Amino acid sequence: MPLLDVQSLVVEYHALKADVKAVDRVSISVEKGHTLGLVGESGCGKSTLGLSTLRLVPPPGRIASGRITLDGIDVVNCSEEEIRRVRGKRVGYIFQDPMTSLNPVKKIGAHFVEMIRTHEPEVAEADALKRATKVLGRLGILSERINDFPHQFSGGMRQRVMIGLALALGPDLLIADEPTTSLDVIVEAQIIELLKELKESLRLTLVLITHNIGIVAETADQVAVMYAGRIAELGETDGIFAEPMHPYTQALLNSVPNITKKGQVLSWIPGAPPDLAEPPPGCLFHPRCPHAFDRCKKEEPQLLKHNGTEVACHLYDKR
Amino acid sequence: MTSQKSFVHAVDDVSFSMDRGDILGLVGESGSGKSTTARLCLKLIEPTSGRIIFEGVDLAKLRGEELRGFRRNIQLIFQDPTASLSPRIRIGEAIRHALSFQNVGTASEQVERTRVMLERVGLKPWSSFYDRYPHQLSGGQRQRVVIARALVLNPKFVVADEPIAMVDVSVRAQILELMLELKKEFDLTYLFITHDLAMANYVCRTIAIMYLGKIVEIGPKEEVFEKPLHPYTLALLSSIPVPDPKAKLERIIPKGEIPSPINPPKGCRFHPRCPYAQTTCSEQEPELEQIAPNHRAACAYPRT
Repeated sequence: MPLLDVQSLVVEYHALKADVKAVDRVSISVEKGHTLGLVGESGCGKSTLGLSTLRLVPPPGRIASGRITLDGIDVVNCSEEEIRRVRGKRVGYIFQDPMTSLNPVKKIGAHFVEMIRTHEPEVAEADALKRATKVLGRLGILSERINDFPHQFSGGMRQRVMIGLALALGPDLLIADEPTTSLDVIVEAQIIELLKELKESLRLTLVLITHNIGIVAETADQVAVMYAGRIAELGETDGIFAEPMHPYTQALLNSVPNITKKGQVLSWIPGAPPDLAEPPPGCLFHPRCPHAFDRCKKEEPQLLKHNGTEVACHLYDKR
Repeated sequence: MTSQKSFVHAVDDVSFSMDRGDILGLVGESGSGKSTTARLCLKLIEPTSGRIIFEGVDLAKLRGEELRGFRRNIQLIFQDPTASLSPRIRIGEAIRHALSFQNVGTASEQVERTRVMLERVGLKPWSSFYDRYPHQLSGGQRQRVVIARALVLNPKFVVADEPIAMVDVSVRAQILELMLELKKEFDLTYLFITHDLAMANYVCRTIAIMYLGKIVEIGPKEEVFEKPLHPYTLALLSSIPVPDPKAKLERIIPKGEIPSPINPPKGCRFHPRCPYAQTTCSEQEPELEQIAPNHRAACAYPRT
């Protein structure tokens, strides 16, 4: 049984013009110990998808339909109490932008104490702090820093604190939303190496949400490419990079500079992602797709298996 | 040039020159001084000492009206188009304002030049864009407006600070291509500030690597990226994520973090983190010296 199983999830935002489907019938499945890279650009719905696995989508967003099963628990329908037990304890979440996620007037130690005692109220403050020191030590942060405030940490250190908070209760699943965006190159490499190492030593299951194709190539076993709220392509990392099938995936991979490739010519995708309040008919990517044909403008493509990868594109649908 | 702001040695004894038509990438991480250097080139910040010589004239000595006149020749493109464009001004007007501020032409000439510039940066037809507000455009389109505003004055020199960092990945190359085309058409010289080495490799001719207020390596991009000399450059290059799951990554990750520029380490600023540091490195600060043809590095033990 997969640790995380999402089936036909629909997350809507009630907007003035219309109800916008930030996530539209998305299904993903992550086995224990695996890493899924959820890749896409602005507005593709990857962050919303991440938040919905813990029922953290802020209003006016809401889960409209579908199933989310987290280690056997029905996330969409379980009680408030049950989902609170899951958050932090079974699933650790690293939010985008560590600076706004940490309370600027609370010491780092206090963040950990709050985290631990919310789930384990019987734990004494001193013991909670001891645990915090241990977790932070594992992440390269000296124990004295328990008494520092967030602004006293550099960007990279704050990110380590976020990872520490996510891991403090020993979850099996870690969801990281853009864990290295806004970090310096070398710090980014340090954090990636750290995540890889933790994956190994703690047997973590990881969902990595990012627009950075490079770190996905390095850490993920499987990749799901999202566009305008839907999955465009889903498969093993090696396969997706070696032979991307969806025109969006192809274009995305061709637009990322690879410093090891000499004489690379970068391409781009003309236009911009659709306005989800007024989406185009048929395939949402068709207005920007170099291979679009008649069917693409009328009929929405289904996510179908083709050569071991799932792809939502009429080019591969011979039905 | 040197700049001291409250004893933070943001830019410490940095010297470099650019030929007309060059594209120099100033590459570095936080605290490297690259953004400060860029702003010093436009004299948006007062240098503590040193010279900024543009076409034979020392900008550091200019004031008021004279400086403003010179500023027409040097324009800046910031990384965040949303912050650079006033949300309450229609984009056509925002561009035209650049001309009216410098008293260039009559109002109708300014409007005409704005229309031409809008189309030149790909916002066609101009009539469809002139009256829009920034929030009605995508990130990539907003960045084009920022570029149009910078170029409508026909500057000679453009300083671009992370011009594509906030643009979607799949649209970045389009903005870069636009900047390269405009360079040819308007005979521009570019100074690119970036932490994105892959982008710098793609677009720049010359690369200068900065660390804690100093240039540690400078040379043609082929030299710096293929035959790096400074250990910090090596560490940077080995840290770049590669979009290829089969790539073999041999990372050189320097220990610790970038120290505060308030109290930079003695001797070579990189020595506490350098995997190859020797005793002399903590005592003597290395000069930026020619190690290979056209290729300079500030290291006592360059990795040749």
